Amino acid sequence: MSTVHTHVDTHVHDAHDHGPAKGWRRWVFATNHKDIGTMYLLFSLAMFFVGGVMALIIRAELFQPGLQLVDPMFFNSMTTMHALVMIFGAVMPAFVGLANWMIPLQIGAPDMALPRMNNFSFWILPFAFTLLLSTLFVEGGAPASGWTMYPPLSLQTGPAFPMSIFAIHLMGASSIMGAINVIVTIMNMRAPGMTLLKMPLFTWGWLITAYLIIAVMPVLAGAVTMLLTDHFFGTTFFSAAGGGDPVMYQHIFWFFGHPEVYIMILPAFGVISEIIPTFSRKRLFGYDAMVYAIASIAFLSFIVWAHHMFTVGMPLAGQMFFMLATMLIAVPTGVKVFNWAATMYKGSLTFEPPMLFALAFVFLFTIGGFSGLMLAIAPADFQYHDTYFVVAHFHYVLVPGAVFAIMAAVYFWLPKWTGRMYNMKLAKTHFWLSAIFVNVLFFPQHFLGLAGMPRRIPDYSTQFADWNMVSSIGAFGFGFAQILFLIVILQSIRGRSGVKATDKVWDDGMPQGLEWTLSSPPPYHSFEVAPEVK
Amino acid sequence: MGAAMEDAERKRRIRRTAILLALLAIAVYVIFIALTVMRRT
Amino acid sequence: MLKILKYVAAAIAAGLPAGAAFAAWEVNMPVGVTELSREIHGLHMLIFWVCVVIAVLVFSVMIYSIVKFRRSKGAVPATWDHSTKVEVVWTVIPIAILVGMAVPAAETLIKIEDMRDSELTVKVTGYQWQWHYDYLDKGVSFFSRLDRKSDAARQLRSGIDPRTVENYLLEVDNRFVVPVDTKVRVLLTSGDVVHAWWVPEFGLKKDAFPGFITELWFRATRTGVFRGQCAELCGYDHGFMPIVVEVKSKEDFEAWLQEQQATTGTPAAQTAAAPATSQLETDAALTVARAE
Repeated sequence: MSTVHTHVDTHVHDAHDHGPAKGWRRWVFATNHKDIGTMYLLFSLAMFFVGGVMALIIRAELFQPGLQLVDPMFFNSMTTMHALVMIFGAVMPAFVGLANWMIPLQIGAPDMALPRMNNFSFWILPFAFTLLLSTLFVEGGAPASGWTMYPPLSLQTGPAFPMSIFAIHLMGASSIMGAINVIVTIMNMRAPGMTLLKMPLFTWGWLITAYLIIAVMPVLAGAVTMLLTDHFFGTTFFSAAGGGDPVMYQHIFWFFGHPEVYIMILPAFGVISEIIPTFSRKRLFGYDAMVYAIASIAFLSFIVWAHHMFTVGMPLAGQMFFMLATMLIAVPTGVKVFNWAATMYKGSLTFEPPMLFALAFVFLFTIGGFSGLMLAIAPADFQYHDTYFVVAHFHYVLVPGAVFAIMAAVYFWLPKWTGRMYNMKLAKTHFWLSAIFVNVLFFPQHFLGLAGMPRRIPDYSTQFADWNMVSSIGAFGFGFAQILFLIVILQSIRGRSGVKATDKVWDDGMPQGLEWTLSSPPPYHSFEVAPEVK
Repeated sequence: MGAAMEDAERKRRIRRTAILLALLAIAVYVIFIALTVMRRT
Repeated sequence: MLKILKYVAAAIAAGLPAGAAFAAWEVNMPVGVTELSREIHGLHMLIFWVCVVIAVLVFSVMIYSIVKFRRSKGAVPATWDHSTKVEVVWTVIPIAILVGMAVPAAETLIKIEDMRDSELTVKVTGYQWQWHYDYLDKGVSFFSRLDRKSDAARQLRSGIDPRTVENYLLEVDNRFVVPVDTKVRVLLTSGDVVHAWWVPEFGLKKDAFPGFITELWFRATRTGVFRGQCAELCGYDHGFMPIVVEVKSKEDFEAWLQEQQATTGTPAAQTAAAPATSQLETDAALTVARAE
C-alpha cells in the first residue's frame, strides 16, 4: 500500500483482537461479522425447514379433494405461518447473513460499522420466532388470517393475535437495525479507491435494499400497531362502524408489501450478477445499467402497491395509474435479464453448482416476471386475483427466484467461508432435483388458477384434483431434495468433504472482487489494514 | 473518502448516519399512523 | 415446456388410479359468457403470446450461449462489457410493447367500470360463510349456502368420496337467478369480514367490505348455470361458500320472480340459521357508506 495510514477498527479494541472467544461466548456475545453472518445463515436454514414442513402439510392436504388430514382452521394457520416464517425467517435473514459475511469483504472493511447492534439485531430473531411459533400451541391456534392480516378477519384471532403482532414488531426492529448497519457500513467503511460505481453488484443490491427496508418496515409496524389498538383499545382505524376503513389497511399494508417483495429479490439480483460473469469468464455486461435498473425498480416499488388490490373497487383513474406504473417495472427488470444473457453471450461457460442455480434463476425468475406482467393488466387481474395463478407467480419469483439465488450464493461462497470445497456431485444432484421438482410443484398452479381455483382453500372441487396431485408430488420431491443441501453444507463445515479451497476458489482467476484476495477461509479479522482499490 | 478519513472523523460519521437512519425509520412509523388518524377525522 | 410438463404430469397421474379416473387437465381461463369475460380472455391471451414471443427470443439467446460458448468446447471469452446502442434498443422496445398492451387494457377497464343503464340491481352480502341475495325493489331476498351433500362430504375424514358428489363444493341450496341478455348490477357488501364475489365465466371478481358498497356488472349472453367461489380469505369455511348463478331466459326469470314473490320472497333458505341481526347492522352501516 502506498498511502500510510493507521488501520481503522471501528469496533472497540477488546482484549482478544485475534481469534474468536471460546465456547458459547463466541456466539452469544458475537460482534464479528463472520460469526454473526454464520448465525444468520444457520438460523435461516432452520426456518427454511420449519416453513417447508408447513408447506408440505398444506400440499399433503391438497393432494386429494376432501379433508383428510387437518381441519380448515389449522390449514389457514399453516398458509399464514408458512408465509411469515419463509419471508421473515428464511429469505430475509439469509440475505442479511450473506450481507454480514460478504459486504465487509467486498468493500475492504474490517467489519460491519456497528458490531454490537449487529449482535442485537440477530439475537432478536430467535426470540421473535419462538414467540411466533409458540402461537401454534395457544388456545384458538396460530394466526389464520393470511400473512396479510386483513381486518376485520385478523381481529377474530384469539390469544395468538397480540403474540404474532409483537413477533412482527421484533422482526421489523431486527430488519431495520440490520439495514441501518448495511448502509452505515457501505457509506463509511469502503476501502480507499472503492468508489460507489466500483462496488460489486451484491453490495449495490443490498445498499438499495437497505433503504427500502428502512422506508417500509416501519409502515408494516404502523399497520399492525393500529390493528392492535383496534383490537384491544377500542380504536376504529379499520372499522366502518367507527368511521374507519378496512381498505385503508390494505393500502398501508401493500405500501409496505410491494417494496417488501423487492427487498427479497434485489440482493438476489446482486448475487446473480456476481455469479454469471464469474462462470462466463467475462465481465458483467452493462454494469452501470444494472445499478440504475436496481435503483429504478426500487423507486417504482413505491408507486405500484395497489396492484395487489385491484378488486377493492378503486376509482378508474387509480386502477389506470397502478396498472401503467406496474407495467413499467417490466422495463428495468427486462434490462437486467437481457444484460445477464449478454454477459453469457461469447463467454466461456462452465457449469459448477452456483452457475447452475444462477442459470435456473434467470430462466425461472423470468417466467415469474412474465406472469407478473400478466397480473399487471388490471382487467385480466380481475380473473387472476386471489387464485392459484397468483400463488404460482409469487412462488416462481420467490423460490426459483430468491431461494435459488440464496442457494447459488451459498454454493458460490461456501468454500471461501469454510476453506474447503464441497461435494460437487451431491450439490449438482441437489440442483437437478430442485430445478425439476420446483417446476412440477409450481407450474401446474398456473393452470389451477386459470381454471378457477381460489387460493387459501383447504379443499377443492374435483375438477382441480389432477393438477393438485401433480403439484403435491412436486412439493414432496422439492422438499426432500433440500436434505441434500443440508448434507452438503454440514459436510463442508465439518471439513469432511473435498480438497482445500484456494484463495480464488474458482479457477482461472476469474472471480473479481476483494473477497477473493483473502485466504480461504479468511482470517477471523480481515482487512485490518484497508486494501487499496485501483 | 477512505484513506484520508481519520479514525475519529469516521466514528463520528458512522454515528451520525446511524442516528439519522433510525430517526427516519421512527418518522415513517409516526407519519403513517398520523396520516391514518387524520384521514378518519 | 408446457406441453412436456403436461405429458410428464399425465404419465405420473396415469400410475395413480384416482388421477386417471377423473382426468380434467384444464390449463386455461374460460372464455366465459359475457361481453366483458370475452374481452378479458382476449387480453389474457394477447399478453400471454407477447410473453411467449419475448421468452422464445431471450431463452434462445441463453440456450445458444449455454450450448455454444462452453469452455469445454474451447470457447474464448470476449472482452467487451457494454454497448450503449444495444442497451437503448432493449429499453425502448419493451416500452413500445407495453404501450401497445396498455391501450386495449385501458379500453376494457373503462367498460368494466361503466355501471350506467343497468336493468336489474341485486345487493349481494357476504357472511361467514354464505351469501345473501337481495333483488332491490322486487321484494325477493334469500340466503345461499353450500348444499347438504357437499357439506357432508367435506367434513374432516367424512369417509365420503368427493368424486361421488355432483358439483362437489360448487353447489348451493338457493341459486342466484338472473335473466339472460340483461345488464345486471351487483352491489356488494359484507356483514362481517372481507369476502370476494367471483364467477370465472363472468370474468370479474370484486371484494365485499363490511360497511361499504362495491359494485360490478355483467350481461350473460346465454342461459346456463355458472359456478364460482368466495375469493378472499374469510375464515374457517372460506373454501365452502360457493356462488352459483343460474341464467334463465327473460320469461323464465319473470316466472321465477313471481313465484318467489308469491312465497313472500323468502325461499327455503331462510330456515337456515340466518344471522338476522348482523344483517340489520349491515343495513345501518350502509347508510354511512361513502358516496363513491
